[in-house]
Amino acid sequence: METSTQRLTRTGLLAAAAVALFIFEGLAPRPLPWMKMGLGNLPVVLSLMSYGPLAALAVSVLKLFLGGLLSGTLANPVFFIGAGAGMCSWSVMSVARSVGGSVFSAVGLGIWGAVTHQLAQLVLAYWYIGQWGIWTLLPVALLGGLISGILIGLLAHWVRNRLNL
Amino acid sequence: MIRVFKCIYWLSILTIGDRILIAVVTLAIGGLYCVEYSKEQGSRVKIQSEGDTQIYNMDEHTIRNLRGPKGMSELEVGSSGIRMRTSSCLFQRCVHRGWVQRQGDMIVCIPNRIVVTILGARLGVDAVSR
Repeated sequence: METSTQRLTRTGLLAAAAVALFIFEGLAPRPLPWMKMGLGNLPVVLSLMSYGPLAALAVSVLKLFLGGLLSGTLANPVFFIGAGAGMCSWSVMSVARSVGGSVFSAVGLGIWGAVTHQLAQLVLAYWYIGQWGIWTLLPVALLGGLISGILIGLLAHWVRNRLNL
Repeated sequence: MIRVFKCIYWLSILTIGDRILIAVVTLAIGGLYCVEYSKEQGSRVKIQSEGDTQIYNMDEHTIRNLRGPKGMSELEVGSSGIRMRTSSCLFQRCVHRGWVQRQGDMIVCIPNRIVVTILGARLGVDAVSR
């Protein structure tokens, strides 16, 4: 039996994990500069699956603000592009979860989230830079989104089974 | 044998929706790559820096020094493509972009305010007003 205190505590812990993963990912070396695995999205997927869209929104917003504050990127264009993409990703995942029901597993939700994140990032970057050529990154961005979505989804599935969230 | 089953075990947690989603995204990526690789090689290069736009032919191998707010960037132009050789920006994203050669491809250095675009062959006035 799960009480609301438990729920609140666990959502808070997931948000803390999201911030830690977000910061860790910013420090880890990456093959291509704009390619991130989206580890910070893992707690968002977990909270969405276990506690619903509102908890996922809380985790996502906390991750963005605390992560931005700690990594010093708060209030610069990169932050706004990331925040906008994060919000798009959250809405699409929530819709996929509530409309789709059990049509999508954690892997499906992860792919929706990651692919939307990549697309929204490109749209916002295009809006900010105003250069058409940014769309040449589209295939790479989608491929990255697909791969990271599958990985995050599998991790979420595994973590959920292990932690009994 | 068990190891093989463990490797493909993850496939069993995929729902029908997941599989369709993966298939659709994969097809979209494949289609985009086909479009990307059917583009023609460029023959001119447009360099925008310091609020100034210059267009060069790509037929001879040259290295151009471009100045920006962060310092100098070296653009290498060859007949087969262009790349940013060195740049005095922090993250070196323009340098990591490597060689690009197709029409519409770009190298962008935001910190140093440089945008390089590959263009097709020059269109004559007749071709434009046709």
